[in-house]
Amino acid sequence: MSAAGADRVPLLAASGLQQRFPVTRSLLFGRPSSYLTAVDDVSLALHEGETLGVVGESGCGKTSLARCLVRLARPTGGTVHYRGQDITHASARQLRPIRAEIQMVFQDPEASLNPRQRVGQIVATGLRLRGVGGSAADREVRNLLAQVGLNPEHVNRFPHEFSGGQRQRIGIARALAVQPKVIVLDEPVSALDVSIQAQVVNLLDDLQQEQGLSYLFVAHDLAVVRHVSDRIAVMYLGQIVELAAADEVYGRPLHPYTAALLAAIPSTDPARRRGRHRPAVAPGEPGNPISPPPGCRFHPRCGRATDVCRTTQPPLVAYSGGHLAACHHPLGVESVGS
Amino acid sequence: MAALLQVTDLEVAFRTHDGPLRAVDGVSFAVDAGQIVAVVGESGSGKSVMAMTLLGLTRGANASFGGTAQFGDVELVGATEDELRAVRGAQIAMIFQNPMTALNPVQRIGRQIVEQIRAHEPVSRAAARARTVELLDRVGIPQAATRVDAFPHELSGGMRQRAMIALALSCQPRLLIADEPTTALDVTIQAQILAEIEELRRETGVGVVFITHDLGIVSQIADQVLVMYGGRVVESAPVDAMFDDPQHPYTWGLLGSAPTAERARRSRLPAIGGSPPSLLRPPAGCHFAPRCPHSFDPCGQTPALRDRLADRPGHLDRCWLEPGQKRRLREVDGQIGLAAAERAG
Amino acid sequence: MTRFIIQRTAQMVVVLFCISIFTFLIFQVIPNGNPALRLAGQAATPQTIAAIERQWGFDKPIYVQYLDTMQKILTGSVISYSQQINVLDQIKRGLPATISLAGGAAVIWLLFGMALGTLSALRAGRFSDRVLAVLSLVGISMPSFVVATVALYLLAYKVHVFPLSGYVSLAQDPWQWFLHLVLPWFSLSIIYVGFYSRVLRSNMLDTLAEDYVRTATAKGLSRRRVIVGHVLRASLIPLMSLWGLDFAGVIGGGAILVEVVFNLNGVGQYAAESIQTLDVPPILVIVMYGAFLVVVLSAMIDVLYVVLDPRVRLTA
Repeated sequence: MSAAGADRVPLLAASGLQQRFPVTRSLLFGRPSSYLTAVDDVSLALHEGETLGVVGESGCGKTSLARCLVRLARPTGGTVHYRGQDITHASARQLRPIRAEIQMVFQDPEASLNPRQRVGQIVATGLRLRGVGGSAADREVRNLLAQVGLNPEHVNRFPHEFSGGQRQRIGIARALAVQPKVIVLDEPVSALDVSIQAQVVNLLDDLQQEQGLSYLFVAHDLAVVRHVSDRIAVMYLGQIVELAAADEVYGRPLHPYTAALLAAIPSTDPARRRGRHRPAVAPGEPGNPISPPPGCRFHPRCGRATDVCRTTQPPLVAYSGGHLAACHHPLGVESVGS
Repeated sequence: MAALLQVTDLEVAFRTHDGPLRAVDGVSFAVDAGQIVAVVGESGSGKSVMAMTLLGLTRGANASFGGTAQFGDVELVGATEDELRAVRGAQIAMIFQNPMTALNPVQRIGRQIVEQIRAHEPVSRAAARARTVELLDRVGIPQAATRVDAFPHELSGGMRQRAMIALALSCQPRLLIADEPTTALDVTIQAQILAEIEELRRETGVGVVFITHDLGIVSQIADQVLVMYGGRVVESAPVDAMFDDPQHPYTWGLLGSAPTAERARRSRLPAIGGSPPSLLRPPAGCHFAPRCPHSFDPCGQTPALRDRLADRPGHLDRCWLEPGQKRRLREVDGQIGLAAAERAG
Repeated sequence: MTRFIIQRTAQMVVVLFCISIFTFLIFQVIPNGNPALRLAGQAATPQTIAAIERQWGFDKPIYVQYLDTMQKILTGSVISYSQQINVLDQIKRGLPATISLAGGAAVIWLLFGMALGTLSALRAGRFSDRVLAVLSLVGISMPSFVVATVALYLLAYKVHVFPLSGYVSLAQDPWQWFLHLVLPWFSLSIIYVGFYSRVLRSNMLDTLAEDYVRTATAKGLSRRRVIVGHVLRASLIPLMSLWGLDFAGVIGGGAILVEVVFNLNGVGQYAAESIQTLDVPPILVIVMYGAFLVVVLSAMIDVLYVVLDPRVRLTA
């Protein structure tokens, strides 16, 4: 469960990953006039059995990163390795065996389930990939439904007959059907009510314990991400600004953006409530990923910014305990020696 | 002093193909000037329908209403459209959840605000526009004099919600109804908007009904809290009492479900089992009983919403359990939460 | 904007090229398509036919014939086979009638479509909405030439309210111009009124459910201002593109049946006559002219969209 496997080959790894989208392109002639850089030079690794959380606000590129990692999208730069094998430019045929090991669960269970298919058919799709068919498949589908806490008798129902939380369970059952090693979860609980969120979070935890799954958990809700993750990567405008063990990120944030994010979570904590203390909120808004600010991308909103922040992009540097942060003036680190 | 808004036994039902849907089932509460009353609940709890009903926005051929909502000398539930029109925007303003869709995409921000001002006050277009620029500046929109001519899509989500607040403020309303005003926003922007609303309340003395599903927001901003479940208020208390000594098992469940920094990482969240009741065929008696691990015989009857704590007359709840037992029942892993149901399912 | 115009012009050239080739080829493969046979008359000898083929260039390879014809069209010297008169002159002669027909009818169907569409959207589900639904279905499914013939019979032949047929130019006698066009206008409009009112009704129902309409109500605006200022305007935007294209279609000679029934001698009627005689040059010119109008009007609509909906940006 620990991230001790730094010397082992990671399950899923990205190195210098970049994803750019052309913003405007004309039909007949003319080349793209500008690009939106959704993911910019991102490197991270997911190890066996761990949960790596990726947090950030809308537009920070976390979803694009997830899509590149499962190769739903082709990155425009950098590499993606699965178990040491380069899958950056793998063809659909080459990807097929890997697809069975990496699955994705989406935010909106409503939109990601075919409304005209019965639940049984939806879940059985993954079984066919494994070559399971006939009555064995029927048994397996019922098994999977029971595993995710749904009534196995409901195999013949359609997605719309279920509630939002139950639909997300169907999405998880579909992903489990191929017996994956890795599940990339893109905002899996953010469309759900609080009480249902907790059910799904618990379910994901149980499944990980039972099947030794690895999760890449992408979300904007820091409280949820902290709860489920071993390590957490914080993204801002396409880049990772901080990456460390979950307790490190929350207990000792180095990057001012991480600190601002944490301070902005409305807490039910009695101590914080009593004082009604107003968190030191990051003023302003995230910049535009089409033309991000020069230097450190967070500097226009940062109280600690100096001249160097306005001109030089800070590299991701390792501090004690393998705590990575990209900041010229990290919090709680006095001598800036690098 | 009479309350700014006094809602009494409000009921809203919609006729559907599957029978009557009782969206709001006897809700009562009061809002004073300068007070923020938060209404918490999950989807289907009736909180949004309740809020929109106060402005007559749920009226229609299939809707029927009961109870009263006294606002000054206007009774909102039975008011005529003309009476309501005079109140809407001028005395009660509303902020909606999604600033992307709540502003007309083909009209400039300024024009939409000017339209409201001129609907209620006999002022010239130029005067209304000058006031609009002031308002935009007041809610923290930079370069208000140029942004007044921006279209909604030219502003970020946070700026759009600020414009929405400026719109709501434009006629100096006495009551603000905010329906999940920060749900669609990022957390740093949410903090900015919450600060804005709190400042407004302090400066203008506006009363606020704040609809949300996020207990964190409630604990930060509210004075008084209503917890809604299945169309009913199940608990109503001042904010500190609500968080320190919650009386209804559903409230315990909500508090327990949200991961917090205090809860051990990767521990099991004490989730509420099952799913919310259908408002078409709600359970008899307490609406929460089917999901409640502590339910017992009396729960087949609907408990009244009343104060059950001798020392706290302002703390109301709808639960048959003895207040004395509750401290023990709501403790899960040393924190407030709902115990796992003993029976399966 | 310049870029937009350049790109649209390039698109138009491609469209016209494809359409002209397609039309030209159809008449090459159609049975009984050899124009020399018809030009030569009933009892022509093979020698006469061969002479005509040589004279008109029908013996040349197809692509040469095509290029010749296109050259004549572009220089304005193209001659029809049957009457052997300049095609462009003939079209110009028909244009006033066609434009009068299209202009009046387009205004009528837009106004009536808007009125009925708004009415049924606001009364959605009630009795009057259902009546309008049936009426518009009747309007949509009734062929315009049936409407035209019945109207002509009742209002011109039986009761002499309107003149029987023909076209009187506006400059010559505005009142007679109007009288002669009333029946054609309405006969042509009925199908569009039915169609437009349904489209507008469904647009409006969608718009009524929008959050910003709820905001407008919450601002304390009167029902009328909410409908006119926020609902109707948004709902009309998609209708505009429909309207532009339909208008282009009628001006381009698309109202063939109505023009023929009322003997308006417009472009559509000219097209009908040319098709009867398989007269390729006028058909080709009218088809290209119609396509040209459609492309130009759709470009104009795109510009209008940018004005009406600030979220839209001009792209080709």
